[in-house]
Amino acid sequence: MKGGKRRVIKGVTYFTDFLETKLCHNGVTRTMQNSTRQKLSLQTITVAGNFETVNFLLGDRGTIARYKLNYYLRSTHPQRENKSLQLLYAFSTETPQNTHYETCFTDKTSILPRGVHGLKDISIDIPLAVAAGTTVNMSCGYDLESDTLYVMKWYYKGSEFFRFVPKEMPPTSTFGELGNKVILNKSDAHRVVLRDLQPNYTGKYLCEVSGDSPSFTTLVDVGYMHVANLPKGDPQVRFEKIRYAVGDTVRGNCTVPSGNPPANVTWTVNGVPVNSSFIMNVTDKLGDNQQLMSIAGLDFEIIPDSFSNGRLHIVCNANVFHLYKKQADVRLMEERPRLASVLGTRESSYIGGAAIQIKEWFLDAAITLLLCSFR
Amino acid sequence: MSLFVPVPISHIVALVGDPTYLPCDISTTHEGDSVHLVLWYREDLGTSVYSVDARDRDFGIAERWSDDTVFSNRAYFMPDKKPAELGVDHIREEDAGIYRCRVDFQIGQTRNSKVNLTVIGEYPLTFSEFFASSIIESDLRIISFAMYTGTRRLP
Repeated sequence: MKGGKRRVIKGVTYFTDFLETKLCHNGVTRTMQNSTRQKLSLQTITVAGNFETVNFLLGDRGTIARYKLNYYLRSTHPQRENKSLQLLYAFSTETPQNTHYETCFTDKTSILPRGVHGLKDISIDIPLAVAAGTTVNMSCGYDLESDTLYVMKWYYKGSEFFRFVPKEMPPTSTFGELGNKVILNKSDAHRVVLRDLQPNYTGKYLCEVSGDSPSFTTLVDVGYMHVANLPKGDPQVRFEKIRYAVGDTVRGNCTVPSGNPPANVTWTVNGVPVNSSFIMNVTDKLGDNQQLMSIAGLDFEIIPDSFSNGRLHIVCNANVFHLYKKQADVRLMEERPRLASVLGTRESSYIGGAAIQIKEWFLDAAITLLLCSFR
Repeated sequence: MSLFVPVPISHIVALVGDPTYLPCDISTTHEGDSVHLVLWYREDLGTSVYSVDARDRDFGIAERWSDDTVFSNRAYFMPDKKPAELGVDHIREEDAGIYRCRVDFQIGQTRNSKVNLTVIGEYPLTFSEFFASSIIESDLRIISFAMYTGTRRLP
């Protein structure tokens, strides 16, 4: 079942009638005793590739409780809503000693769809992540078909915060702290708009739609949203030195200002992704909000192929979802013995130029560039 | 509907044929509030299996509805119990499952609770698998069929 597109449909009900039962595997035509119109309650229909799996319960006492049916879909997807199903099914009779199965086909028209004109296809649409303080549009799509909407409800972490009941005046109600953030005149039977969300509202959001009596068909869908405190400022890279020879170790780090969640840090060296040697998230508590600063290290040994035209272009990428995407970079240089003999030793120019600023043997990228231009 | 994180769940074990009571707290928490609707759902079904509709009337004369194919006339709601209960007579093995009770209030927040109902039969419920392969001349071609069945008491 792997590889195909999976689609799950819930809440459809079919009726079946076993009076027309025929053609059992043992050659007899079987008619069910006490046969009445039975309700097949479809649990799920899963579409994967060309196979469709139907799970359903049959409300027929004394026979089979649960079915699972796989059938092959013809090249064009049949309009399930308009077609009847012919079903191969089995009856079982059981004793404590053994179980006897009898397989039969139903008549072609014996399984008729029902409830297909009711509420279906719910789908929540909320952002994966938003920046703290922004206004968020959440929507919940569904197809009522011939059903009447009784209520649309929104929950956060299991607690209702908004509902819309078309029959009531006003149709909207809000609950709790999150309810106070609902912009009422923009919220309706399909959407809820929330203002000024803070990181404590990261979590699971659920929309629940219910049709009216008598069946009160109810569908739910759920989505997860992150509310992020974005880092205030840009990432910064620091490296021990600017000139490297083959065999040297490049050591540096990239620091991203604190945020919640902490930024994801990745490196590229001359355009090639390189793993961090370490990643640390340092707590930086501001009031009730825990913020985390990200520090990622880079540590690798120079080999002859490391340089591209005598340069190492190192980029630190810092991301927080799609909301914060920043880079910091540094260009390191190849140290050639010939150059060194002309310009003197690396150490002397290095210390002479910026010894005071580089107390911890860490060179800021900006200082590095400054040094180069001085030469 | 296992998506509600903090929904309380109670566990009920019943013997086939016995009357069974599924609890559901319908008490109000706001002054002047009243129950509009009590809806029972079974986890595998989209439609409600039992409802008490008091939206346009007093709760005492609320409209009660029971799905014919689930509890039918075996079910009856008892709002005066603490907590309120849905009584189901002659419980069957196929009644086993997780039920959700949703209480819609006029003013207050919706309350959801769950009941995990286990039904013990004369023979323990075991699942066996059955496969058949065939192609049927019809709108749909059935190429394989799997069946899961429970052992149940013979009449």
